[in-house]
Amino acid sequence: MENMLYNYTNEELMDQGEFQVFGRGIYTIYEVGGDTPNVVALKGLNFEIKRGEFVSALGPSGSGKSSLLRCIGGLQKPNAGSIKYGNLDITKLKEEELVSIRRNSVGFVFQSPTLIQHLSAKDNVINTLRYSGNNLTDAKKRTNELLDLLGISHRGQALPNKLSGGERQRVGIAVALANNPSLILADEPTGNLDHENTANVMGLFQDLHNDLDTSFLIVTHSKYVSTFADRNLELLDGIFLGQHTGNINLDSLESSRQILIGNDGRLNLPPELIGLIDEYGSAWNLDYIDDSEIPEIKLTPVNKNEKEDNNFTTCPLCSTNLKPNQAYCTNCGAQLIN
Amino acid sequence: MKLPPIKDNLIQLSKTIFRTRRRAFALISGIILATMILSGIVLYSSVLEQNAFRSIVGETDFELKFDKTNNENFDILNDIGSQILSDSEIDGQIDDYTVVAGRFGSNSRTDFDINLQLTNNSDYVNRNSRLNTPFRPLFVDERFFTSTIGNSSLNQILYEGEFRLPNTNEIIIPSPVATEMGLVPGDIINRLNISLATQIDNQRQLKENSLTNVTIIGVYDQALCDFCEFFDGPILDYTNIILNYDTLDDLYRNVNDLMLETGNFELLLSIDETKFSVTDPDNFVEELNTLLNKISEKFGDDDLIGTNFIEGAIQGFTFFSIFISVTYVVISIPVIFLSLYVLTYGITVSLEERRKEIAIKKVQGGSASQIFKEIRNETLLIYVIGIILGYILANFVPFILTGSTGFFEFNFGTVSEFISYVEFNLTSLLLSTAVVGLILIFVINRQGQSFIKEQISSAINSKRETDYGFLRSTNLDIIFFIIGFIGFGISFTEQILRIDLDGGITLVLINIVTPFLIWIGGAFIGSRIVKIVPQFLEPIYLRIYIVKDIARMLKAGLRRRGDINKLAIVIVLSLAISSLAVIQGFTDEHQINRDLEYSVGSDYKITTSTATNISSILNDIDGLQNVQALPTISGRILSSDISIVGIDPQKEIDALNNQKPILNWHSDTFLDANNQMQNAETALEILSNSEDGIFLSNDLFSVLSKNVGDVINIAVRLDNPTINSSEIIFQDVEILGIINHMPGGLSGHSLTSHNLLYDFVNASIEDDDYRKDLISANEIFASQYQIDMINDNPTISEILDKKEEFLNVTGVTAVSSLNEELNEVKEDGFGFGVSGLLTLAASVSLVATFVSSFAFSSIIMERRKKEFAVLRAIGARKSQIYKMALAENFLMMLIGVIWGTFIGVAVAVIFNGFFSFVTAGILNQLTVDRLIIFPWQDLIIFGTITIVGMMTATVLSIRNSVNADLTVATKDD
Repeated sequence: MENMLYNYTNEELMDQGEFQVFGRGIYTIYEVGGDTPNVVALKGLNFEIKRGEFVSALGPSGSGKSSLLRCIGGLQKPNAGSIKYGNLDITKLKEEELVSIRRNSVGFVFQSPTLIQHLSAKDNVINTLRYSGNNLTDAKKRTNELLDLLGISHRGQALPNKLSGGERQRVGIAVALANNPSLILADEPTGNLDHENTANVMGLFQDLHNDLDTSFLIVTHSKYVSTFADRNLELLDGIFLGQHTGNINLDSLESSRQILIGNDGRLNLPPELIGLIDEYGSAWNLDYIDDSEIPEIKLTPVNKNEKEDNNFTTCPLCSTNLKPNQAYCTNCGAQLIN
Repeated sequence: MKLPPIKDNLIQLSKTIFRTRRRAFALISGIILATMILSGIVLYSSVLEQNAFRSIVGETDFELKFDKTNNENFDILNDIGSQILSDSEIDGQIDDYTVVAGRFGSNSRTDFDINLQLTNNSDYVNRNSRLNTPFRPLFVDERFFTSTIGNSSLNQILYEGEFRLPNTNEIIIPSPVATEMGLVPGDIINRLNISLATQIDNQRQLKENSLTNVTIIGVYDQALCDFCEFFDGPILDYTNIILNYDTLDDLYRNVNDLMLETGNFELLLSIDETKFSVTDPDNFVEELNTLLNKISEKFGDDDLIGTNFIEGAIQGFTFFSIFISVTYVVISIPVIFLSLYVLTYGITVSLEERRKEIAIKKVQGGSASQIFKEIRNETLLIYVIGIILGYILANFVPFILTGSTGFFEFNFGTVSEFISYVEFNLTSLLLSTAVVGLILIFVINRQGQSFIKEQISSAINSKRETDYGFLRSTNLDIIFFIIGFIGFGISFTEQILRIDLDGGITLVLINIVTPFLIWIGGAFIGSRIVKIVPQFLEPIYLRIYIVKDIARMLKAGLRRRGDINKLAIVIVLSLAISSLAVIQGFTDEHQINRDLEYSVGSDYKITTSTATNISSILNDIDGLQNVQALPTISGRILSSDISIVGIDPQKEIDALNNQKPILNWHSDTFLDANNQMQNAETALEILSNSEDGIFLSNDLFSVLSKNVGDVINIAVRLDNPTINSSEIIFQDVEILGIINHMPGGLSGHSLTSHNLLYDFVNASIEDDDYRKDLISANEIFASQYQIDMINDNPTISEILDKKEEFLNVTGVTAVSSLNEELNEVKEDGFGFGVSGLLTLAASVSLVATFVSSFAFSSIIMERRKKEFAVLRAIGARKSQIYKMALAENFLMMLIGVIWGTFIGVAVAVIFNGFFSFVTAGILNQLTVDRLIIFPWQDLIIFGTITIVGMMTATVLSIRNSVNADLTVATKDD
């Protein structure tokens, strides 16, 4: 019954406008328990992925990339914020309603493919197709096409633990592609692959992107993978620090970084700049100078006497311990001065 | 409409089940175990009922009885019987018939009375004054003696003489009459008076007649009848003197006119059992009632009234049967609970295994209903297979249990006998199918849905929140345990320390309720203990030489094991049951022997109808080692009536010194003033050395408020119906101690020596001829003799021969043999039912621990496959990994086993009161205190078997993981 009630088709979701998916103010907080402060993985993220756009997310481990991916894919609900496919806010959907999104619109590719261990490679793909209502004949036909396409049809009867890493990843991709999703979410899809397999997988993604106008959001550490993206979003400590286009030097991201001002007017300063100026919580005067061809923003430190006091000893949002009169939470970035 | 997402065909399902056989094993083993127990107990109950019912049918001489309301007479009923036998519609359902008269006459307005006379009136024996039951004549014709009914009666009795009555001046008499009057077959009675009372027009008319020179043609002993309380008893009971019907006709020519009332003549029919559902009581009764109506319709003019004798038997028996079934179910509650816990554990483990798979399926687009349907279909197939296998195993349960002759002792039948036990019992199948099915539905719905609804991300990352269960998370387990432990303390004080707390009904409630509380509470506390205690023991444990090379790995392992809660609970529950079963199994087996030893008293117990001196006659019998006469007298101490039995203590002491006591003395036969057990030899020495001492019965001692060593006055009164009772007071009789129970089934008797008893009798003998009968030539007359045989292990035929020999001694009316009674208990499948159930409980608990360990370890070790591979990759040997896994599990299991055994001991101590109530109050008539036995050696063996079983399960389950291909195992899944 829920299939009939919540059957959002791919077309419906894609025809909602320019954006394939966009998010506003996404917070994800993990409770750790005990005396340890909660971990705020995503700190009010805003993002957009346009239809047919190939986006990658860069960032060190723990920066929140995978959390972002899971929230966009409806595998995990953010603690706050909204993620919209067109006009449909998936954070408001019930679990049964999310099935339709996962089934028709999104394909997931993980670093370690999530395959059902007791089903053969072929059955894993068939299973996915059968869930979405295909009859067995159609499902088998489509599976054979996909396995041929991915060059693993000869391994179709093998169980996942008998496949090599590359083979398993390709089966995982076949599962993700089975229902022709309009958005592929890939979490380090080539992380376990050698260069040759990485090239194959990315070539395949590229073809899908070009031929079917499929949108991509790929979490990666790989410079090679990032070159396929229209833009690379840099994620650090749960916030988007900037974006990169063209060639990226992963060892020196600051060289290609473009600072982003979000829709909420937030501007995140890169850590190397923060390190140069002052401690967190210091107040600055901002001046916008538009007297030349290129407008400028000028920040000057406020006289310490003019600083407003606050009484927060712990962050009201994430419970992190604070220094006296700290203006922002160092953990979640919450503003502490009125 | 969309097609179903997966075509649930059997092949695909079977393939899936085979590939996920670890979780399938966890599930199916729980289902099999629960089905086997639930169905098995119902089947066992049904078999017991059938066996007992078959015995009832076997013991009835006839099943149907007919009376005519009009013109009832011998010839008419005989004619009807003959027609029934040859009728084609009856189709051989009636095996035979006979007609009797007078047996039930006392119930109608016509009544017989009978008395016998020898040479003069002084030998007149008025039975009514000496026995509670009056004699009645049973008039039979010659057909009776050749009929199935007559021969069936004959087969159940000890009979002496000819079994026929061809002439009118011949009779058959019961053995008490023969004993009392010194008659044997062939003797002649001068006169036999028969009075026939009738009531016509409310006027009672007595017609008296006599037979002279009546020949005794046969003497019969009372039929052995285990179930006589459920029906009207056998034809030949002690209340009948059997006469030829012609006698009646000769004496009362117009007998038919006098005996018009229904019930004076009876047509008795015996059925051909092979043509009825004899083992199905309800159907059997229905079939008999149908037959009754058919006969009434065809052979009477609405005046032939049939009675179904079996129906009456069933009503009494049903209550007995239900009571036994309920008792057995109560005894089986722990093992039922355990099997259901293992079932839910199996389902949970199986679902836990699916947790990640469910998340993957959701990622693949599976909806909640689709995923649930897959789980349901797979579970359904396993459920069906499990139920079938469980039911097949359940059929072994009654076969094994009815063959039980003690704890883990069996007397198995043949294969064909086993096949006779196999039956399709819809109730037993439906019960297990429903209970197991409901639990499956409940757990799968609850747990499965929670996994399905779970956030995919946490399921994929396998983040598990430990489920401590309701009891532990609410700390109710501690409360349960504390209450249970208090119950244990009380029971320990009562039963082990033997301090009477006067608990009354409270104690009964404690005995019933607290064992469950300490068992369940203790099990959940066990799940805490097996986690905490290893941490305390860790410093010592890691220093053990054998684990030194893996100490660092082991240390991490011991601290990490947070996944053992449910297994720990299963271990403690199981061990507690097996310990309970071992203790109570041995106790019960011992108790059955003790009860029989007490009731029979020695190798043989011989009872005479009146006090007599047959010691010298008995002593002449070949193979007999010793005789102890047990004379008894009545008396009074203050306001309490007492019975005193006397023995020859020196004879007993000598016999004890030869390791061959005559009487069956128990460790608790004698008690001291503090209720502590006293050695029998010591007590007998005290009795022997005392000239005027007495051991008071337990009840008497407690109401007299006297101490051991105090003196009392005893008033002796000898029952003599011919004179008024008078009492002689004996002063300053010393209280030597307490006799808890007197061998020979003399419950509530105080004990003294022959000498003192002789003095009691002798002093009160003046001018009383009757009392002279009680002593003769300084020898005591007794109505009970205890005999010790040289051969301790006689065969059944030797026992029966010897019984016959004893019965031939003049005056002997009954002989009991300890060995014969023990054999009967072993063969009837009733007496050792509790032992059998406890054997089942112990076996199931062992299997449950093994299965649970295997299921648990299989899954845990599969999860640790990668860890083992990594350890091997960094240089660990396979043997070290085995050692690590075993060492981790060993400590946990050892602690679980020790704790479980302790809980089992506590439960066994508390439950002893309940078992005592069940076995004494329900199953046995005559019983002694239930002394709990602690077979420590067997408990250690059981604990060791459990640990070895669990360690074997661990080895079997880690084999795959340890031997896995390193390249495969180190891959992420």
